[in-house]
Amino acid sequence: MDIYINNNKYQALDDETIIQVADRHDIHIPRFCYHKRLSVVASCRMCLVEVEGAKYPQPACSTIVRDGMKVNTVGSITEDAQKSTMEFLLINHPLDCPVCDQAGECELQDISLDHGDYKSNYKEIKRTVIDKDIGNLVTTEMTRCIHCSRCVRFGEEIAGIKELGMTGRGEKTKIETFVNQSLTSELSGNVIDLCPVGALNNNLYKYSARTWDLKQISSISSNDCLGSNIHYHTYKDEIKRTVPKENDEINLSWLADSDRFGHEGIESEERILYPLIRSENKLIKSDLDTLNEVVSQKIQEYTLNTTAVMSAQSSCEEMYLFQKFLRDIGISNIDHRSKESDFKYQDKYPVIPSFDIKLSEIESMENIILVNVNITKEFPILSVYLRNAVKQNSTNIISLSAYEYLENFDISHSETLSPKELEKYFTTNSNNILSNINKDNKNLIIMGPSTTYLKNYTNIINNISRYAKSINSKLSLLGDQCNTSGAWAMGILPHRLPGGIEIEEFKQTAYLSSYPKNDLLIVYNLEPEYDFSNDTEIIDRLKNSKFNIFFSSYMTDSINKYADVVYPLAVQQESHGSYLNTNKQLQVFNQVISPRGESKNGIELLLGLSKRLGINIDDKQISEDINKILSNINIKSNYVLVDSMEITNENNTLEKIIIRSSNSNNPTLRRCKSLLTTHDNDSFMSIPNSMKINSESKITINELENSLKIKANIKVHDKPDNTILVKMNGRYEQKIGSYNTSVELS
Amino acid sequence: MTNLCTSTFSLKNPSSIETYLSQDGYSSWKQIISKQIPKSEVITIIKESGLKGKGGAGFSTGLKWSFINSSDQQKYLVCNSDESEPGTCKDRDILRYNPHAVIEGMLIASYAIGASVGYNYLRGEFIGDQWIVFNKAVKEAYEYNFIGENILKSNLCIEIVPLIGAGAYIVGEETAMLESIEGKRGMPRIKPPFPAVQGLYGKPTIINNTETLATVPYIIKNGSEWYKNLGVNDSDGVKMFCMSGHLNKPSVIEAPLGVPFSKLLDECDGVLDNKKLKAVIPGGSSVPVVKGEDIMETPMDYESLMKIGTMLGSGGIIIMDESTCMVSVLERISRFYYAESCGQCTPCREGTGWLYKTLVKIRSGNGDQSDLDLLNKVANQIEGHCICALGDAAAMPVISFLKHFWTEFEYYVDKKQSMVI
Amino acid sequence: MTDAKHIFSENMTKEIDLIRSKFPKDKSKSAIIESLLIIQHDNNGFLNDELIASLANYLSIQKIDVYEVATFYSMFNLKPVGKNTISVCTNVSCMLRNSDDIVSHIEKRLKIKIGESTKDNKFYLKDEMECLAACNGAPMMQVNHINYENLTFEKVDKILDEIAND
Ligand SMILES: Cc1cc2nc3c(=O)[nH]c(=O)nc-3n(C[C@H](O)[C@H](O)[C@H](O)COP(=O)(O)O)c2cc1C
Ligand code: SF4
Ligand code: FES
Repeated sequence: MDIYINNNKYQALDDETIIQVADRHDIHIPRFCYHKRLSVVASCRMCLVEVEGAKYPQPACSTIVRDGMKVNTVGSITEDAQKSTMEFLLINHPLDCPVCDQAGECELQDISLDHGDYKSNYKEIKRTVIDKDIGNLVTTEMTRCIHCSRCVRFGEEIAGIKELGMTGRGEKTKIETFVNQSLTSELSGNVIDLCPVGALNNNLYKYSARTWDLKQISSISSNDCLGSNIHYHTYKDEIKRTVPKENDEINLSWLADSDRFGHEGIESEERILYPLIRSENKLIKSDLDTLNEVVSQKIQEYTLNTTAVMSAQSSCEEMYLFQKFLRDIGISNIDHRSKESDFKYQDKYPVIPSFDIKLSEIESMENIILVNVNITKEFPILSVYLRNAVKQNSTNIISLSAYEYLENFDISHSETLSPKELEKYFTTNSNNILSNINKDNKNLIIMGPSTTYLKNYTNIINNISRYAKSINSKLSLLGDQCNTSGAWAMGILPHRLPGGIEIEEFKQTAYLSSYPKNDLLIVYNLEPEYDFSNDTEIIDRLKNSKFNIFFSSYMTDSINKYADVVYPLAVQQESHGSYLNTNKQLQVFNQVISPRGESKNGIELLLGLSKRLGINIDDKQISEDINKILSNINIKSNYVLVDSMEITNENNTLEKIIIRSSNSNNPTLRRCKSLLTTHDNDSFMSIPNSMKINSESKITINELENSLKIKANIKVHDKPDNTILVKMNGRYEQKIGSYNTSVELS
Repeated sequence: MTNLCTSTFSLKNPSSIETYLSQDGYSSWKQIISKQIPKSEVITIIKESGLKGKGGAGFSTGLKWSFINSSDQQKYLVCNSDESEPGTCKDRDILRYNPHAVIEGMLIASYAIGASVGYNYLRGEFIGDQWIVFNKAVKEAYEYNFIGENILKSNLCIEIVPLIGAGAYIVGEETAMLESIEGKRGMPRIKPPFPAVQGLYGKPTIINNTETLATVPYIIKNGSEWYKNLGVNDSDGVKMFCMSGHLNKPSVIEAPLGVPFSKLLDECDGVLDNKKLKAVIPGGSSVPVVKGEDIMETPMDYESLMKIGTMLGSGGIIIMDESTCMVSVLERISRFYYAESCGQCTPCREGTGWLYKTLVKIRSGNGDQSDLDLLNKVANQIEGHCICALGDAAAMPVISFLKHFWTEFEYYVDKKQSMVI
Repeated sequence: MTDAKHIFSENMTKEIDLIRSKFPKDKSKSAIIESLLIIQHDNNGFLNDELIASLANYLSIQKIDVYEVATFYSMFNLKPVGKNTISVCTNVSCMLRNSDDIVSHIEKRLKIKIGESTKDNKFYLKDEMECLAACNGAPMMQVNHINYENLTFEKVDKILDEIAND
């Protein structure tokens, strides 16, 4: 149909509102409560516009268009209505722009410049609201609130957990949490962007800069495999804050808290600022030339006995170059799967493990099975899509995990299964919930990254793949790190070259365990304490190897003790490169700030070393190669069908389940103090019922070289049996390492 | 003067089911069930009777029922017993003296619209009296199997469920009531969608006032022509008028629509102490005030009151004699809307406070001429700009008081005291 | 969400269950208002954070949902009040019949201002803003939600005496 706005004809769709048509054609209508991704409440009354024939001006955000409707967004009727709303809003709003963080980007300030009538007629006393503490991430200045309710609706509709509410009535209406409760949603920071005034503020950013001084640089999240799009705002070479960059295929208008507050760790005191080399049992400041000299010698000396482990946080460029120079000089023991322990599946794995469907297609699924994943905590952005599916399509969601995870969307059925039970669950599906799933439905299985940590991962993925095939289901393999897909595609694997080309002689092999004697270890951006499935084992290796080369941004105890050289690696925000996200999109990120100290972008460090080893390649060549490799990859499905399987034997040994925490899943996040203290990162473990304990019992955990004693006032879980749950990667709050050699009761 | 809703009021044990049955109560309901009168026919009878909603807006009840989304999904009926409009006190009498008429009306309405549950939402302040009476009446009707499963062996199943609020005028607004039943703050919804399409829990819902529903059984029993003819001249049917304020005998009177105001006044034995009538608010405190002399001979019906610039509203008629200070009355009215604004939409949340505070200022002798203009300006800025009619309800008294009694307000800001003292 | 901690007596949970049964199964929020009324009644006429949190847990809903409701409706008290609540209607119809004088009279008699409770905690004089729907009986008041109409000072004294002596 056609409607007229300011006498110009525009095309409109049937159920559209005036504001949607206007927005699509860049016709400005002021608004506060309306947000395109939230429900329409039409309560602020800022968007009132003249609709010819109507007695009063109508709210553009809620008024549905009619064929031939004539709307005027200019002219005295509209202007008077908007001016009067503005006047009402300002009577109780403090005029404290000079000290308000929102100044310069305040929607109220902007609109009042456009529409306000400066001399206010209001002479009564203004309302003041006492602020309450709602946590470490978002600070409040509630006297400035204009009651648009965006933050409340966000909690209910998007984050799926209502924490902020509207209390009181009439003029005394307030936005607050229940008695000073902190926000716990992993998406909580989004209310900062949604708040059109300076009532909800970013605690990290607070008073640190004025908006008009900020420089905006776009980037990609390095915190999960979805690859949220980000804008960093910098001032004087420091990141002041992080805001979402709209992307309709990924993060929509949102950011997970780990992305928004995840830059805090960059300025950590543990940053490695210089090249370091061991001398008389101590790491001392050195220079890159010296390091390259020593390293190239050692590498050439131990070529055949070298193992190189690289983080899947690295960029595709770093990955490509890393494996290239190593392979060029004859080193093939390369891997990125530091947290895994069962590699038998690897030959059948897709060249790029991925989510397989577009995130926007989630909504149309009828059944979704979640395997070992807490979407809400691990992939907050993904939870928005799942929630929407339940809301729009009543999607039936089943959760099969080792722990009873809470999700912010409705789960129709959930089961707690130990790794062994999980393995069997998909083969004996005649009498369980899976038997209700129909092959003709649209089905999706989402596999959480922590499944790959399990000792029987091969059997699990094999059984799930067979089942998925039988019900015609898509299989989504979520990556553990932001560039896990890239690591597979770039050949950070012992058995495959970039592009998935198999290397016959390395089939069935994997790093560490397959190399009983290593004389040289290269550890790239991984922290031995936190990033390995078996920290004791890696520490053992470090102790016994002849030479240890680290590329790292931060110092840890084990690096300090065992590194022979340390390359000072710039963090992602100080580098540029690209990531392959779980939807197989190659996304480029820019350098946002300059590397701290003498640290350098990984690609520069690697190019320097390669050159020293006589390998000539440059930036341009690397990108060309990557593009060529990716364009040649062709994937049919994510099914992993293994031919011969060893059945996991049934015994009563204790198994370990690791709970991923999205807020400490990489070195920089581990150093974000505000994140680690807000989202329930309490150290936590659960003891199986089969171990009889009481409150007097003491549990001894042999952690690294220390033996840690913990009192057993720890949550006891009933299911699954014979398992112990450990939280992975916690740092400040976390006393227990990623993996423990033994757990004993006394 | 006419007895429908009020027919049991003067009987002994008015609220008991026996009393109601002795007045031929539940005969309409039994007739519908035994004769299996089709739903559409019931709706047609109500439509043709000219019955208009008694809650305030005066919308045709039969027409409203016919809007119900006819799909198979769950539907709801809601009876609005929130009675909170200042000056209105009729529903409380129906609830305590003739509760079975409400129940029977709710049953018939539920049947007509295909609802399996009818909620009656009573305002919280009724908890000590009407709530108890109504609950007891429902229990009785269950015992007689007029409500519940397999009603009178007809396979029909309708539940009638009493609910209670906790103090909020705004919950009388129909969509705010739905929010309240859903267990939320009583904040009105935007319309469309209208409740008949998307109401309680998102399901098609019809909301009617207590008096409206209590009238329904009488219409079914006696026919639409009968009801229509009860009104004077062109008006259809009857209405309960709540006569309060400066009267010798304040009363609730059920009378034909179109009855002249003077006749109602007579029924109350005239103005208190035979003083001169100064002003009348004829439909609850939210409708425009009129001068006494302008309403005296006006027929009390929707159209005639419109002609003199006001409305019939809920039928709450507030009488003010010559000793009344109009500034004080307006201040009191404004205080009410200020206190009862739900707080979601800007003009009402901020504007009602502004009006009230300005009137307090004037009353305390600190106002000046410009404050009178300000009142007018602010009221006009609220009117027509809000989600629900509370904004208008706050604005209309201000505009009309200033219009009819400007000199009195002027006197107050000049002399810093009331003209009538 | 499985947190079922609450501090209600068995009787109270039965009553809440009954209220819940008035609404569709998955609509437990609907039970908030009526439950709060009986919980408040059981707790000397006021609510506190613990009771609010308990109800939220019992109904498996967010605490803020209950809190929103508790702060919206005027019959809920979030601070302790006197045992007997007096609400004098001071809206238009009652005002025209001198209800303000009734309020002053009670204030003087009980030695409190409107909105306060007496020292002995016997009475709470609520600052009632609403019209209590008994306009033809003006001036009127409710004591513990029982109506008393056509008030005179003498009548008020008698009523308060009786309640005080109860
Ligand atoms: C602010 C406001 C308060 C209202 N209060 C009441 C009320 O207390 N009782 C009532 O029946 N209708 C009240 N209404 C009218 C209702 O919204 C609705 O129109 C009515 O219940 C419909 O029933 P009826 O068609 O039978 O009149 C109110 C409307 C508004 C805007
Ligand atoms: S007009 Fe007032 S009561 Fe009605 S929705 Fe707006 S704020 Fe609420
Ligand atoms: S943006 Fe339309 S009313 Fe708020």
